[in-house]
Amino acid sequence: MTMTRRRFLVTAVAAGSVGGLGALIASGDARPGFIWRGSALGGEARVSLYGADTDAARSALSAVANEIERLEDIFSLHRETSELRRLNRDGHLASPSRDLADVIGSALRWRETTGGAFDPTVQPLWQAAADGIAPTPELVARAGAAVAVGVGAISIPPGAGLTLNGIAQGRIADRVTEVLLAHGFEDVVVDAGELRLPGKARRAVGVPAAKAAVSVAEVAIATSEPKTLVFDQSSWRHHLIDPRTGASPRHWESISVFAPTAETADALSTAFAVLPHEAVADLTSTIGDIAVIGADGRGRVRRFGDLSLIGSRTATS
Amino acid sequence: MALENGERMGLRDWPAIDLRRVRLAFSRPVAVPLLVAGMFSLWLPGEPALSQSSFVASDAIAPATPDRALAGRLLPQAGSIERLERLEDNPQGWAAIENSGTVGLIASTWEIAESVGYSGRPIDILVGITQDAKISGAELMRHNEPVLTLGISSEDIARYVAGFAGYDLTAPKIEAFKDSRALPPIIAGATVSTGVIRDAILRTARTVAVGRGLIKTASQDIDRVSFSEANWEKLAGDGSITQTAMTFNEAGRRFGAIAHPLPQTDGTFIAMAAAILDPPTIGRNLLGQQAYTRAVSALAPGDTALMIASSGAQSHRGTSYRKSGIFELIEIIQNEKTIRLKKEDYLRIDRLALAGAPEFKEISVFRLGAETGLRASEAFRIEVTAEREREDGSPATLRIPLTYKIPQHYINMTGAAEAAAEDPLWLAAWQRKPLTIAFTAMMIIGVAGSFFVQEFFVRRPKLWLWGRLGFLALTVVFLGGIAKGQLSVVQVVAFLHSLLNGFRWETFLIEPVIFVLWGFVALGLLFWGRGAYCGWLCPFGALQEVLNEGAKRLGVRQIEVPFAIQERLWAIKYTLFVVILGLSFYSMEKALILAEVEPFKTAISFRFVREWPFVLFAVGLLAAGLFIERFYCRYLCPLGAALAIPAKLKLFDWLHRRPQCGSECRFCETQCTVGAIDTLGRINPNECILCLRCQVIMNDEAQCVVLKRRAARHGGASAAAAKTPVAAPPPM
Repeated sequence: MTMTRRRFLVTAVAAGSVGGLGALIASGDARPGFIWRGSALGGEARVSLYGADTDAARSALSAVANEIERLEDIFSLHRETSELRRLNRDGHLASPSRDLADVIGSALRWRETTGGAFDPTVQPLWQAAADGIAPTPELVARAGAAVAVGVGAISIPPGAGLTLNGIAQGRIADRVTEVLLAHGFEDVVVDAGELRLPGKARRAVGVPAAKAAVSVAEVAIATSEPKTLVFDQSSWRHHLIDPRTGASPRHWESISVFAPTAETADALSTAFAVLPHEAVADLTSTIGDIAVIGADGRGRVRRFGDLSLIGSRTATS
Repeated sequence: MALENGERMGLRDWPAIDLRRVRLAFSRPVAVPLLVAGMFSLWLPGEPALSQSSFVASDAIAPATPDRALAGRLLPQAGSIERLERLEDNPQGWAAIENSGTVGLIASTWEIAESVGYSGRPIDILVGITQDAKISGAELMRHNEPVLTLGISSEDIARYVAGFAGYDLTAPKIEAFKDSRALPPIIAGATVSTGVIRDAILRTARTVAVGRGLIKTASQDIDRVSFSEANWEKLAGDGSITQTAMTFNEAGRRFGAIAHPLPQTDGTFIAMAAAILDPPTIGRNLLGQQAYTRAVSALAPGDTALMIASSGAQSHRGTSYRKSGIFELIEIIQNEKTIRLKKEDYLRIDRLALAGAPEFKEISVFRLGAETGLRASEAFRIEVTAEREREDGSPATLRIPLTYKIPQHYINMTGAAEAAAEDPLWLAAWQRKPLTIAFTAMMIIGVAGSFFVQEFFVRRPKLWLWGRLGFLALTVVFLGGIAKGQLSVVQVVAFLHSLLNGFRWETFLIEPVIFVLWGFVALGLLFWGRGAYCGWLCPFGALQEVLNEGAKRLGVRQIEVPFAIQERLWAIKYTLFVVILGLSFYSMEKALILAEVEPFKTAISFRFVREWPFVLFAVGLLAAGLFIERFYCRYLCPLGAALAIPAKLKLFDWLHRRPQCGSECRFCETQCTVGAIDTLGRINPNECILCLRCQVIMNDEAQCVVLKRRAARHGGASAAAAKTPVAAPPPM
């Protein structure tokens, strides 16, 4: 799976972030009030609550931990018993959870929208890359397999495999946000590999592509960077694989997508990472309601889309 | 110095009862009849409290109440406790509130565990418990344990109680009395009292931690039995039914741009209600008897019935379940579990029977099988997903969550009940030393057995002599040295007080050996009088007799006390007993100090390792016993006196006399070790220790003058008479 440990600098969060995995830290009067750290789909997860009292924060964060645990049981490729693993193993899954059916459904739509640049069926190619096997036409053909998300069951053809690592982290961030909203927390920063800031209060978020912080609110941000996981240093074969070719293109050093939901941002950042800037610009304008900041191979920073999402103030370093 | 020290010096775990509170006029001569009745009526229930103002029954004692300073000591991890909130529901206690959040709980062991010490009086310890189920502190607020007032310094006991801080209640249970590194060591010499304290603290903390949900137990179960009439308002009001609703405007905003926009009104897009039906108070009221029976009859043990009802434009059922077999739009989510609802677990209900219930378009009852892993007693959320199509044909989804947590009053706190209903402490005490108890019981059977085969026994002087000496040695070494089975007058006093305060078996069962011995004493008194205990099973008495036997063999001359003086000296012990008893009603503590005339603690419990005045006293008594056999028993022992009084009621009179005894011959009188035979040859059962010596003599042709005479008459030879070790019997 992609070790998408995005090097986000969340300045507001960084202030109080000490302590171990899954630890709840009360950092006194300094904001944020409470930070929960754990992991989601193998990456770090962090939830920061602002202006919360102990009991409420404790119960909300324990609900968050439960929710992440629940979603891992659905999306994880590392858990033998997860729904996704069972689907890949059996080629069929009866009565899937809504989250799985919804995410696969939306992943398939993004496959269509992006012309195959984002494709959940990339798993056999990804596995080959991870195992150091060169992409064969046969493997490339397996990507793009038909996935049937039917009523009450999901099935995939033999040999095909699904990965939701390019979208599920976003889904988790969105789900966690919902849980927090249900507990009455709106002013939060959710980092489940992808970021979601549902609150109205603007916060500074570091964007690696721009090497700068942007001030944002009510937005989700997902970033893809080849360097996060490189399988082969000499060929620079990395985890962002173009499902159509099996190659790991180097259009971008880093690319961040700003969207209303983390699921959308996550899927698009994965897709855009394997697309040249012209294609990204075209897709950004057709999809709408998103913004992109990317640094290409030569270090040039490009911005596309609805720049109001990125915030009026753009700090530079 | 000695007497000042007396305050601190240890009466061991003997019961003490603070009766300074009791204003019962005890100058009337009720003590003796009561004592007599008491010894034979262990089964008598305790007298009810006389009046709250003059007599405090144990039930009426209020638990200690913490203040903020105390709470700060009990919950040191809390910064500054703003206030303490009394929690009246079960388990009771106090919540320490800081920054509007609970930082810890405080509970009283007397209130939660009804902790009673060996004195039979409350031990009250306030225990601080953190939110992560750890004991953070404990303080002893009230007790009447003699060993703690007289034996062990208050610093020691405070340190012991405070030593429980940091104990993790989720850790596996540690057996009562067993040493563990996680707990402060039980204080030697006060095993019972400190064991009781430990049990009280752990039991209370566990009960509170489980009851307040700090420790999760799987055994929390829903009350599926009780029923009470209720209407919609009441059920919705107390959370038995939860509800949520969403307007078209809200739904439209959340969907965003969709192909067929929702009408812009404040009408109901969806209104939902949910309830767990298992408790009849919810289910039967909601569905009516008939439908309820139908709904729950399909439930296997561990299954739960959940009702979801909705009205408005959005359905919670959808339609695809008919084809696919699962309800696409609903998910039940609990912690990390996602549960999908299946068609075969679905029951359609057309109408609610409950008065005041709103109209619903769809009412479904779902069976949530045990295999789903749903814990019905804990919170879960129901998520209904609404789906609309966007312009491009992709779906826009909207989730309507509804959280349900069954109200606490439907939950049987079997976990808490278990914590409270775990084995009582006395059981642990009995299980702790089964061999000691068994051996004590065997000794008792041995004593009783020898009385039952008395004739056989007393006809064999050698067997009797060595059997008796051996038994006495066993009594000293085993009962005294190992089992610490020394009865005390303090227990008699405590027993009488318990009859007034409310008798509890538990109090007396805490010390098994003592309990077994008292059981035998009660029966033995009825059969033979007090001698069965005093002469055979009392370690100090046995010690005196063994030492005296040795002294005699070494040629120490015995002092013979003339009967007239002897008889008058007996009065001392009765006086002592009555004074101790009377004093105990004025001040238990003073009575306990006076009860120090018993050298038992010094000699048996502390093995002479005690302040010198006590040792001197005990050794002095033993020394006197070298010259006057059983000096202490004869004249001073208040326990003996207490047992002598009901001994008048004995059923059997197995000590035989000859008509000639006391008139023709007074040999036995001189041989009786305690001088219990009067000049007329009668055996005084109050003084007799049932050593059986007179019975041996009576059957010994070499000693009994009557037998010797009879032999002389038959055999002519009177050689036997010459062997008589004492002066010739007095002339007739």
